[in-house]
This record gives sequence, C-alpha cells and structure tokens, in this order.
Amino acid sequence: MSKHRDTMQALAKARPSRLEPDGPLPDPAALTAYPREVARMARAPRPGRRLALVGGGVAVVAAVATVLSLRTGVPAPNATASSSVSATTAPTVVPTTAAGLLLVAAERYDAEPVRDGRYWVVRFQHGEQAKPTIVDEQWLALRDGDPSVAYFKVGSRDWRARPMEGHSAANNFLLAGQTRPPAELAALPSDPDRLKARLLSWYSDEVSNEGRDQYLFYCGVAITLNLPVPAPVRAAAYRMLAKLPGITALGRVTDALGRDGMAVGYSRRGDSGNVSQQRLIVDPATGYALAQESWTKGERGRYTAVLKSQWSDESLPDAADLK
Amino acid sequence: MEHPDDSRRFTAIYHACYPQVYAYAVSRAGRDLAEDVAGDTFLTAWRRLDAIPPAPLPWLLGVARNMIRERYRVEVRQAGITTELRAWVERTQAEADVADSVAERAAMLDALARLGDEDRELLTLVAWHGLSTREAARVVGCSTATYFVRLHRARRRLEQALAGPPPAARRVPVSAQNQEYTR
Repeated sequence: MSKHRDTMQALAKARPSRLEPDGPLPDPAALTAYPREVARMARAPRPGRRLALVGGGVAVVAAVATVLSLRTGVPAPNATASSSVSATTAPTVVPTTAAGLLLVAAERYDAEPVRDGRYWVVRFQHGEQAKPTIVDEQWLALRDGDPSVAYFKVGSRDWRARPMEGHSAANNFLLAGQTRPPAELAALPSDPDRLKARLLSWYSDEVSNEGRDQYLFYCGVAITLNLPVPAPVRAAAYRMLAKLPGITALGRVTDALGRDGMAVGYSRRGDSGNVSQQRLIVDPATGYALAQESWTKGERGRYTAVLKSQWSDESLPDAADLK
Repeated sequence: MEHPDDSRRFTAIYHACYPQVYAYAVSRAGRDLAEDVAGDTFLTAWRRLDAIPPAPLPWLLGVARNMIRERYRVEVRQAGITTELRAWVERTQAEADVADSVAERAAMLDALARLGDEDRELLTLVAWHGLSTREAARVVGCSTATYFVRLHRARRRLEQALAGPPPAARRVPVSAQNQEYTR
C-alpha cells in the first residue's frame, strides 16, 4: 500500500510545468459579456489568444453575426480614411522591406495631432475559418466613473447594448498582459528605444513563456492596432517593430474583409511543429493597422480586423443609433 | 434572467478553476488545443451557470472531457497528446537546475507516456488535477468504488512501466490508434 502511495506522490511531483497556462488568464469579461442567448449560439468565442494573454488589447466583447454583408460599405478603420483617400495619397514608392513598410506607417502617424477624449471607441470583426463571424463595438471609458458599454449585432438584427460590468477606465486596457490606466498609455515614450525599454521593464521571464522579441512584437501590434495611445506613440511602436529581429515583409495582401494592405509577419514554431505566423496588416497609404491575422500552413486562422478606432467626446449612444 | 451576482459568481469560479481546467485540457489533448477547450468549457459554464454545483471543478472537468471527445477527431487528439507527452519528458530532462530529482521525474513521465489513455487519465485526475477519488469518479462518470478498482490497476501498470520498458506490446494497454501516432 505504501508503495502505491509513494508512486502517487512521485507522480504528483512529476507534474509538468507545461500544464500551466502562459501568462495571465484571459479576461473572463470576454465570456460574461455574452448574453446567455448569444452564448448559446456561439461555439468558440474567445479573445484572440496572444492579444489577450500577452500582447495586450482591449477585452474582447464579442457577439456572433451569422449573416454579415461587410463587403458592401466596409468602414475604413478611421472615419478619415476612406478608400478614395487611400488611393490618392498612396505612396509612389512601395516599401519592399518590413522595416520600410513600418517606417512609412510611422511617418503617417507623425502627421497626426495628439488627441484624447472621453471614450475610446473600437469596432472589430473577429473570425476564424468556418466559425461564425463576430462583430462588436466597444465604448471604453477613459475617465473614472464613466461606464463602458459593448454593442453587438447578431445577424441582421439590431445592435444591442450590453454594459461591461466590472470595467472601468483603470482596467479597460491591457498591454503586456496587465491592465494599464489611460494616463500610463498616454505617457508611453514616443521614442522607439525608450518605448522598447518601457515595455521590457514590464516583461517577466516567469510570467511569459515567450521570448523577448516575440513579446515586443505582440506589444507593438497591440499599440498599433487597438490601444488608445497618442499618434507619436503609435509611430514609435511602428519604428520599434521595424528594428525587431525576425520580422519579415509579406508584401501586398488582402485582409479577411478584402481590404488591400501590406503585411509584416512574425513566425514561431508551435508545439506540434507547425510554424504559425502572426501578421500585422497595415494600410501603407494611411499608416493605419487594418488587422492582425494568424496563419498556419498557408491558411488564415483567427483574425481581428479593425473597422473603427477613434476617440469620442460624446456620451454613450443608444444601440438603436449605431449603424 | 441574468443578475449582477451571476457575473460575480462566474468570475469567481473562473479565477479559481481556469488553471485546473486548462491543465486538464493539456493533459488530455495537448497544449495546442487546450486554450480552445478551456475557453469553450467556461462559455458552457457561463451559459449553464445555474447547473454548476457548489464544488465546480469536477463539473467543469466533466464538461471539458465531453467537449474534447465530441469536438476533436480521435486522431487529432492523439496527435496532440503524443506531442505533449514527448514534450513533458524532454522539457523535464532539460531542467538542469533541479538536477537531483530530474531523472526521477523524467522516468515517471516516460512511464506515464507508455500507459494507455484511460490509465493516464485515472492517475492524473487524482495526482495532478487536485481531485479526490470521489470527485474524479464524477468526472469520468463511474462510481467511487469502481474508480478505486480502476485506479489501483492503473497504478500497478504505472509501477510496472517504471520498472522497465515492457517486453511485449500487449502488456501496455495502448490502443491501435495510439501506437500509430506514437511512432
């Protein structure tokens, strides 16, 4: 009997560290934000893995859209960036290197004024192969005391609002797996080397199984894609990415919504030996990050496409007023 | 109807149990699938919050167990677990800083890898996932008495596997599929 007990104790001691999740847990608000009846329809909604675990990003509040005609009237990622504007301001010299693209994108941001507002408003489409597409718009409070609300649209039904319980200005935004208050994001350095140093000061070998470069890549993606930072900080994030080893230029691509852009990729070999590649797709004409996509074996997997990201001083809209 | 307390209760369960659900998913399907399994398990939990008993872990692992079975083809799961088992041994051998116990732990994981899927689950539910025999029995859907008997046999086979590689394939209850993917 005691031999058996010893065996069980030895087995308990041999518990592999690979049973522990990487980094902090995904935000449960991504699940509780689902109304129960939508949760019933949604098979696999969850935050984009890296965004939620390591890179950062706003908590994903997702809703399932079973029928979506997004090809018609796809909103540009910012109100100012319509496709006709893109065409006329497109650079005559197309960047061919990853660094070149990122530096062009950075320059576009240099020209933007620093803004802020009461709310950071982001609309994303999330998808993964045959799984139902998910679209949500979040109004994330930047000031203490303001409520945050997520809106979602199911099929051709009307937008519905859902308060984000437990969310406040203090915890609305995730970078490097930790919540960062808006003031801290606004104060991120606009010099790429200093930005990198700041991000690395939050990096921990114990918490992250990722290498430092990979960590910086996901941080850079979060800053360029979906965090409320001043334009110069976005520019700095692009410049930081441009100097990061391991980033490759993928040339012209279309994102999951059919929008033209250029992509850079960062690859890692997964545990099963497959190489998976994270792509950041950028509109070289505007500098806006269009999407983050995960590719394995030549197929697009999970993606997040930005439909809107902007500041707003308005009060929370009624769901019925959303378009 | 949803209630603010629902969200609070769910979040408490989530924080208390996510690591265990994730660990169970890794041990049953490999790390590549584990996050999907854990996420979907908790989505089910949110949807069926009223059905969750006061001790939620066995219930959650039962949901995860069924989900893995229904969701993934046997080959996919076996491929995931085969990779996973190899990684456990390799990773443990690479941990040079705790040298004295490393060889022992690696040998244990290697022996575990040579057991059948069922035996491995019976043993690890108790040894790694923090369940009592009674709770573990609930996860796999048998009586506590039956679980004891099966656990006893699994433990014996683990000890045999630890004593040395099996002289004949039939001493280790590995399914045909498992052998296929272990090569």
